[in-house]
Amino acid sequence: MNITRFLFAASIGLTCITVHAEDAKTTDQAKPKITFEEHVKPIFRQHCLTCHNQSDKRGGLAIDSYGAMLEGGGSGDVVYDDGDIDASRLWQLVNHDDTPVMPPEQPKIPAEQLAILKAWIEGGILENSGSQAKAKKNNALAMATPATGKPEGPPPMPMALPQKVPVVTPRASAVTAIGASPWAPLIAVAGQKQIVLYHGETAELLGILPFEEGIAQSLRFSRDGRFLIAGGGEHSVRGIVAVYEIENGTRVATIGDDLDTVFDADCNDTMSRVALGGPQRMLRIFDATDGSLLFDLKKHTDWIYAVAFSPDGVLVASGDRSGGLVVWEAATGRQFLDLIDHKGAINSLSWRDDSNVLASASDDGTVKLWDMVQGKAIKSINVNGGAVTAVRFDHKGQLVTTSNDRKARLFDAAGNQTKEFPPLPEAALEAAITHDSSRIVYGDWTGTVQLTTIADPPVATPLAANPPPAAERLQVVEQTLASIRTQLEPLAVASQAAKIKLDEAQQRMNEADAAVKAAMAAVQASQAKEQSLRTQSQQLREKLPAMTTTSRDTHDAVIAARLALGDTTDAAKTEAVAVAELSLAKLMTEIAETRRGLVQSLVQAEAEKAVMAELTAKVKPVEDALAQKRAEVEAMKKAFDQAQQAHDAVAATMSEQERKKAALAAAMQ
Amino acid sequence: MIRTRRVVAAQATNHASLWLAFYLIAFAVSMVIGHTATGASPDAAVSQPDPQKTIQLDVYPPTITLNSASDFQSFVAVLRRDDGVTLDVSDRVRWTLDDDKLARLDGHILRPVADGKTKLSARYEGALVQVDVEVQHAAETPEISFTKDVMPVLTRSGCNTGSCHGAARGKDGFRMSLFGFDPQGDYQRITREIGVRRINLALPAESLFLKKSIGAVPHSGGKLFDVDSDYYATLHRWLQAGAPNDPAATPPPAVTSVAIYPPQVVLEGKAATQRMVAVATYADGTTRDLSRLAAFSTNNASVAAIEQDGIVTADSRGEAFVMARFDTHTVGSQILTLPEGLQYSPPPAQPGNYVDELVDLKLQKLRIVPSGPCTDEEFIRRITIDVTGLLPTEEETLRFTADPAPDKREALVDQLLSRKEFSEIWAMKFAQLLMIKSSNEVSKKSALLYANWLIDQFARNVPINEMVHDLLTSTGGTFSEPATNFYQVERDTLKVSENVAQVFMGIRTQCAQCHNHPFDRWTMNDYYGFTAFFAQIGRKQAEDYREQIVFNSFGGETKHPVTNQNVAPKFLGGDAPETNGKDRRVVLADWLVSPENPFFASSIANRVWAHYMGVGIIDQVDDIRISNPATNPELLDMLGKKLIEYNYDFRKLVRDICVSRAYSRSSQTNETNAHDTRNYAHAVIRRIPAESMLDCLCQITEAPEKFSGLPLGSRAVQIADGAVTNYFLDTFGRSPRVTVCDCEASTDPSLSQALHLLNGNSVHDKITRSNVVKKWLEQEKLNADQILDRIYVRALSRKPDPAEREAMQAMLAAEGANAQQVLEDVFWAVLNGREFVFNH
Repeated sequence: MNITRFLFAASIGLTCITVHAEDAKTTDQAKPKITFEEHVKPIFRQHCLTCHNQSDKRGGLAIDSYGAMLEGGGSGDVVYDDGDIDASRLWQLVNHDDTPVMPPEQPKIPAEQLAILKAWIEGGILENSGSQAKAKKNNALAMATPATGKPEGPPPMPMALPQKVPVVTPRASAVTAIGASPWAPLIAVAGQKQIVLYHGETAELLGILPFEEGIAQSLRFSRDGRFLIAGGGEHSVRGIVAVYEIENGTRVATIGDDLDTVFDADCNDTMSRVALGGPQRMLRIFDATDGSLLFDLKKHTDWIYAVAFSPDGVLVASGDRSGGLVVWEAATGRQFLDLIDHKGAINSLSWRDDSNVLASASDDGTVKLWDMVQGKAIKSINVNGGAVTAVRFDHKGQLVTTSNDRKARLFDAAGNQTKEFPPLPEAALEAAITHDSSRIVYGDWTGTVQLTTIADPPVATPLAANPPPAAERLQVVEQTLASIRTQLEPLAVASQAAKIKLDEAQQRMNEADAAVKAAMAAVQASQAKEQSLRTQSQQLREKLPAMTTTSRDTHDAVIAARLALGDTTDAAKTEAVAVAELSLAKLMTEIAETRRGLVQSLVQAEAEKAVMAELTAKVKPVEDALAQKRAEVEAMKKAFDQAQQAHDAVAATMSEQERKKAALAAAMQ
Repeated sequence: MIRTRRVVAAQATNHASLWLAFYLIAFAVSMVIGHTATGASPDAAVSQPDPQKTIQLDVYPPTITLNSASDFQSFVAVLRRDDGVTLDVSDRVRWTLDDDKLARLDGHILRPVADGKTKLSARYEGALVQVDVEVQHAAETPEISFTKDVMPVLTRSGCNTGSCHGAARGKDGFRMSLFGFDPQGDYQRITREIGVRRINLALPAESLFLKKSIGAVPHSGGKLFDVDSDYYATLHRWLQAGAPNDPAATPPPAVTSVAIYPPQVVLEGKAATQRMVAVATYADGTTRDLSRLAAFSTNNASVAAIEQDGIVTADSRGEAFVMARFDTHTVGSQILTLPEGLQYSPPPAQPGNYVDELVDLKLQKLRIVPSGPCTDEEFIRRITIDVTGLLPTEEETLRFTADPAPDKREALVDQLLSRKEFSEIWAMKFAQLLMIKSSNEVSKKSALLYANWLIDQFARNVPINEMVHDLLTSTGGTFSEPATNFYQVERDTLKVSENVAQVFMGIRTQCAQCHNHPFDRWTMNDYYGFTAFFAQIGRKQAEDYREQIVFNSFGGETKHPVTNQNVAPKFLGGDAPETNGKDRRVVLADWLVSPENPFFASSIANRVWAHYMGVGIIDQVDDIRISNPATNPELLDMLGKKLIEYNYDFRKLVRDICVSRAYSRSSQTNETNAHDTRNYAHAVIRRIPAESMLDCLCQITEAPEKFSGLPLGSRAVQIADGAVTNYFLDTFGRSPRVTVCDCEASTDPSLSQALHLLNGNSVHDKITRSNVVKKWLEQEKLNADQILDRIYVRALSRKPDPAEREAMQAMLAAEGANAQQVLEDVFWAVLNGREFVFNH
């Protein structure tokens, strides 16, 4: 009794201690510790252990002890200690993300218990209260910064493409392939013996690449966007891969010679390897430069539906009709990973830009994301639209899918659906996303292909996989041309009128300018005149002292002469006096004249100054008039420029149309 | 549809005035109904046969309806001579249309022109037959329907057979449902799988589907038809229209029946031909010519071959059955081929029961003269083995052969039928069919109780219908109600239903579990409808761990694997009864044993017949299907009726069979019946079944066998538990009781059988161990000749012939011969002879 009591007391004490310790921890982590022994095992006991105990081990899995659980089951590990819930097979099955749902043929485990399981897995599958969680790793879906492969210079766009339509059909067949350039607004759609290229923004038909081998089953652009890789051919007859240069549409290589069509083909980053697969079940890798077969890889047990090189060219993935998915080393042809999880045909494969994640779309209704480092599925996206027919990554790691329920969907980099696009008339079969992630292109069984903006509201533009023949398009171009011409005519007239007005205004401005110049000249002349008068006056003034001095000298000479004469009548002396007096008189006259001249000049200068002021006053209005005329001219010029621009713009489209017309006309011949 | 036709019958004959007068009267009356012009009554013809006289002109099909602009119907005229030989006279008949504005004749094909009703007249040597023709919707060309038009082309071309795309995993990556049991699935696979792999709606002619079938691209199945064929046109038109599916709301009408004409053909001479015409009738009343769509086949190509255009060509003498398969229907027509210029005079009529009447009728048709009666020695040995599984004793044989009474054979039959061995044989046969055998599921005690129950049923002569009813409706513990072991031996619901169909109706439904039966009428709907009767069987553990309790749980359904819907219980070839609140098994059992079920009585009768006659009227006895027809349907029918009439007491039926002339024929053949094994023109030689053979060996060597769990001296026939066996029985083909197939008990020869008789312990040891020869020599003081007689009479029911006797004398006369040893050797030799091993 006593002992019991003692123990009781002790346990209370211990409890107090642990409580304190836990308090400290919870403040650390702000989360209670979920452990296997304490929280999870009771849930397992309730729902799972009847089958998954260590004696029965259904599916090779026992989860009645922590150690046994870590060993995993027949299909590998069921939980991971890095907190990765999406990768946990156990979670996928109990959360009904994947099949077979667990527990089988019973209701789903209640939500609150699921929450505990989730917290436990995310918390690092702790065994007991003493266990420590591992540091949580970065989300595998966090994309490493990839080497983009974006080419130097402007993104490659077609310059001159063939326009001839090899086969004209009134109806399009089910769409087999859609491709989008990774760097340019350029979209390729497969048709009958042709690949139709459209502008990714305007939806304008840029050209048609002939594919006389049959129907292209896959369209992929090279990493730099300069080449288009088309795999396809004629069913049961021949399969090839054709590589086209985008700028001029020439086929630069034709690789492979399969006995049945090629369902998918891809080139590596350096365009040195081509991989293809089809109903022959062989993944074949060719040297792209000389077309020689490098590897003939036999592993798939059913038709290969999808083939894709990783963007860095290191790996190549291939998926087949029975759900087999294999990743190979591109350089050696050795198997790198055998990814087993899909329960239906794999219809499409796409790599994320960083080459670490591969997306596979399957008939089992899921898109699975596979991590190349861990070698396992890190996410299984339930698309909820029946068989998933296509999947494509964009540069941001977003995914676009199409599925049997006729819809296209967009998922963010974490695999959450962000958008659902309007349905097409039938099962959607192919999808692509444009280089700037602004639009998606998707097509269906009826051959309907739509270019749809991602921004709301979605604006859909149809793209035809069966373009009308060149002649028909020529007609359309001619019609456009005619309508442009009628548009252009009034514009030309308006522009002409503006020109005339401008010229007139110019004329008027010139006149005003001349008037201003004349007025200015008059002022200047007057100023010069005044100046010269003043100068003259100055000169006269400067002459005066010398003359005065000379006159004084001359007067002195007169006096002297007179004195010398005195009252004599000496003629000579008188003469001399006369001469002196005459000279003085002359001099004096001269001085007087000078004085007068001086005054007169000044007076004249003053007068001229008045004239100048008058003239200067006249300049201002003339100048004002000129400014006005100049403004008028500016306005006219503007008007003219506008008219001219309007005209030129239309004229440019006309010349574009004319170029098209010429190309089409050439194509028709 | 108007079925009345006015037939103006006349025959250009040069008969006596009496005949002429008759014809005139016939002409005056001239109101014969049917597509037949008959000139004389068949009775008159038989009494005064004139082989070349023609008595009947028939035109098929009996009415013609044309339902659209693209519809057409071929027709055929058949002349039946007095001797039964039929001639295809389509080319010799003058065909006219009353109103040729409504339809037009294109060879032997009628094509529509305008709506209305008219008549097609066939004139041949003064005989006139008229067939009603109705043209509807002559201006309309219906759209191509996938189910109604495309699927038949694929089926006819063989695309969906088991060796091609109909295989469970498809062929070369393309799978179709076997014989088209799942048209919607096929539509999805053809049009939707892998985008445009199979169809190309932009360029229909580029569709792989078409290019493969015309051999334009490599195709494992080869070329199936030409570009200019109507098959190609149908598929191409469908693709041009955009490969539409049939609207789910208004599906195309289902095929309600298929007919093949003429119903019976008798061809004379090799290379004689007859064109067959097949017509389908749809639920909306429209008809369709199947000459280009049905798949034709024959069950005996060496007698009558049939091409896919429906032309039958005779070959060697015999009997064949040609079939037309379309949609889920298979129909057949009997073809008899006779050598040209055969001289035949029917044997004089002899008294006999209905069995002989019907057998003889068939033999007359085939111009076969039956063998004569067997000897008394042969008869007593044959019937004793057949009825009791034992050999007649020496005394019985001698008494019978010496009996001067004219009805001694009937008396012998009656006497043998009253023996308990008769019911033991049948109890054993049914024990084999019911697979009575101890196993993990069935304890030894259950198996014994079950076997005892069965033996008791036969011993008490419980009518077979009651027994089967009790068996099917059994409820309770496997100890207290041993019949419940029926549901314990086989616990799988699907297999239970298959077993019931096979054992009690003679029908093998297994095919229809996964696809419509390719050569019979059974569809998956029929299969799962029938299975639904067994969906509510409950089982639980009884107090004794070896005992299970079988009960009706009133819950549980059967799902159709294609539609994934519950299927309501439906009798096989019958109605869907109301089963709410009832034990479904009771509903089924009531119907199964009732005369409304056409299969129960006749299939049981067929099993009985086959046991005594060596080969069933339908062979195998548990493989009744349209494509495996009865050689003598009238006889089978009559036997079934008699069984019902006898209140299912088949002892009486056995008597009818065993007292017939047909049963007691000699096994010696004559020129006319040597080729025939199916029409009972001579006795069929059969190896004695394993159990009976061992019993016979024990009987005549007086050396009993010891079987596990049974007292010494028990006979092999009495072994209740199928798990109890011995080497002899296994070697000689005793039924292992693993399946319900009648074929499990085998009488096929094997080397080990021969070696076992020669060297094994069964014969030699029994002779020496029992010391029977010594006993005869020493106790009964018989001389060698008497012992030889005894050996022969015991083993072969006859006395040795002089040569045999001389051979023994030579051996006895040899120096140092020991009489006992020589006689034992003789005994051994007789038992190793073929005469002993066979019932002849």
